[in-house]
Amino acid sequence: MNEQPRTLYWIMLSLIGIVISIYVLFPVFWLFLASFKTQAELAQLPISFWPASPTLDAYKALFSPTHQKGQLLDWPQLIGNSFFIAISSTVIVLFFGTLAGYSFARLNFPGRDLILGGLLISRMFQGAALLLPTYRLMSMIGLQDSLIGLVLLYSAFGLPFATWIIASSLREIPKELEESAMIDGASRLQSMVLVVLPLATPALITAAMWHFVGAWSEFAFASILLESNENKTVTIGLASFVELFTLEFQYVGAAATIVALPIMLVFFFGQRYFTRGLLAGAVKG
Amino acid sequence: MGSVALKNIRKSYGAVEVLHGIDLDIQDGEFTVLVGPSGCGKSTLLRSIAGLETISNGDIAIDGTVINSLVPKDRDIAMVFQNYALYPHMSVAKNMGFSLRLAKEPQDRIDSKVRAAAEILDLTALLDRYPRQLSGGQRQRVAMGRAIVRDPKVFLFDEPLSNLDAKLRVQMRSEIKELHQRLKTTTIYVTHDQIEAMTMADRIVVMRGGHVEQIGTPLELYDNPASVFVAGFIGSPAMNFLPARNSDGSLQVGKGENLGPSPVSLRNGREVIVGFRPEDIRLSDGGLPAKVALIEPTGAETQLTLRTTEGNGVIMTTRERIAHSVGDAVHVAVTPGKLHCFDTETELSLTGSVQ
Repeated sequence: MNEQPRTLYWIMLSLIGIVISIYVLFPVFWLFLASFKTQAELAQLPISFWPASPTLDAYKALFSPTHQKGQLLDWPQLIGNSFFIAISSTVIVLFFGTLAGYSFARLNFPGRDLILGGLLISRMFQGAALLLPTYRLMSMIGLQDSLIGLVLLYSAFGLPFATWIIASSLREIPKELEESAMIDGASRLQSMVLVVLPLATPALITAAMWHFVGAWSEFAFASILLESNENKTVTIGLASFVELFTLEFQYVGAAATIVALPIMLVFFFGQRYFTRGLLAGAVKG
Repeated sequence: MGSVALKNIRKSYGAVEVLHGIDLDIQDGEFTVLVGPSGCGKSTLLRSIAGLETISNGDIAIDGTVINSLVPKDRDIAMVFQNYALYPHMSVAKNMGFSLRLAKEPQDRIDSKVRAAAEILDLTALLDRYPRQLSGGQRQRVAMGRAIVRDPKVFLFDEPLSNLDAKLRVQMRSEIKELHQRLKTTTIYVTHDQIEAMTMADRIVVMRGGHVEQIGTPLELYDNPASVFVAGFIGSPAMNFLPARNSDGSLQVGKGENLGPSPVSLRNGREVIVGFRPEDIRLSDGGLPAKVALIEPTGAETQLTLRTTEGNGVIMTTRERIAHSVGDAVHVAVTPGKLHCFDTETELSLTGSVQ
């Protein structure tokens, strides 16, 4: 290919990419801008794009005790709850996912491939189909309206995929490394912890990110299982905003921005590993 | 000290047996090479000695102690893998000291042992590098260094040079051999390259299809191969084979051309496979008629590919300059006493037996 068509090709591709990005990101950006506007500005016509006089009032209001008096939910607590659930279930998923992934990748046991395939299939059911059965089950064992219950539930949902990602990445690590470690005097556990896992970091980070983001943003199960206000999560908080303050869009914008922040941070720091983890084994390194 | 004794080693994967009862005694300090084509079981045998494969039957003993049920780390062996298996996330020094750290040796002991090994292998300047920053030959040396620091009873090498280019391979071959002469540690070395086997081994074990085909020093195997397989496998270019028959004590090929007296006494008229090495034939006035098909000079010697009247290829090497050109009709004669004789059915050597 000579120089000119190639440049043109890249310009076209970039243009398409830019258009798609704008299409996807515009509503998010719009909400972000709304969080800096006043109620009056949001209600006026014609609609203004940039905030006329940007203000942090909406953010202050979210965290001000006085404002909360008239409000049902305590945002610092919602954020705390969400962090608790997302972080605990991520730790659980990573711990068991690593052990399970390792055994799928390295040990020979009957039905191994069948079970690994079954893990993936289990993720193909629509979550909605499981809502009611899950609710029944959780009430039966007394774990409805409990953060621990949600941690266990999310861990159960997250484990198959995490196991799968970790297993496929561990398969890429040459067996000889572990054999060498075992000849060098390592036990199986030592060879896993000292040699294999450091090399599987991208996959572990990917699995953790994936799960954290999923747990942080989960709405359906949280909304049917959590009843008392002090147990609710940020996603429920966002939803109740919409019901309570339909017209006070600046609060929704501010809350949504805060809720999006941890996820953006996670992606910002983990991005490098994320693509590597998902692509593990796709091409020869 | 480290002698190795293998007794009736069998290994099966399900119903498929890949090692069919291997017996082998390796003396302390000996450099033994297991050689054979791929799939002959040589690597499986080595991995069984290392404890990375479990054997289905038999006994593996090091210094008289049976180690069948010991895990690799308790067998007092060190292994160098084909892909080196260096830990990518550890520096050269950490790689070499890994086993000592696992053994909870004090840090200053680890440092001094690693430094000593690095000196032997000329790795001192590279101790802080990571494997990805090393060349193939350097990685190979680090892998050996990792084995040396452990000061094991037995070194195991699994095709350690196959990933190197030809020039480096020759160089590392000498380095490994020198290392062995210096450390005198019992070494078992697996390769599919017969030149590596010939140049490095005190004793070669030729394997084929899960059996030991022949055990001997390099020159024993070269001069007295026990079978067509060994004769063809050891030596490059390979030994020439022709169908022949015994006629009054002389071996005749083709339409009755005489190759020379049979090295063994055979029944008159008996059909055999006759073998002779490329350097044991020369152009002469009489003997086997053939046509020159290919001339390949390498400078020091010239390799001729000849075709007999029956269409069989015969390779000849000579250190003399050849005046012939392709298509010329020539005659070749075998140096007296250099004929090998094999059974047509079993392909085993008949030398020394009366048939």
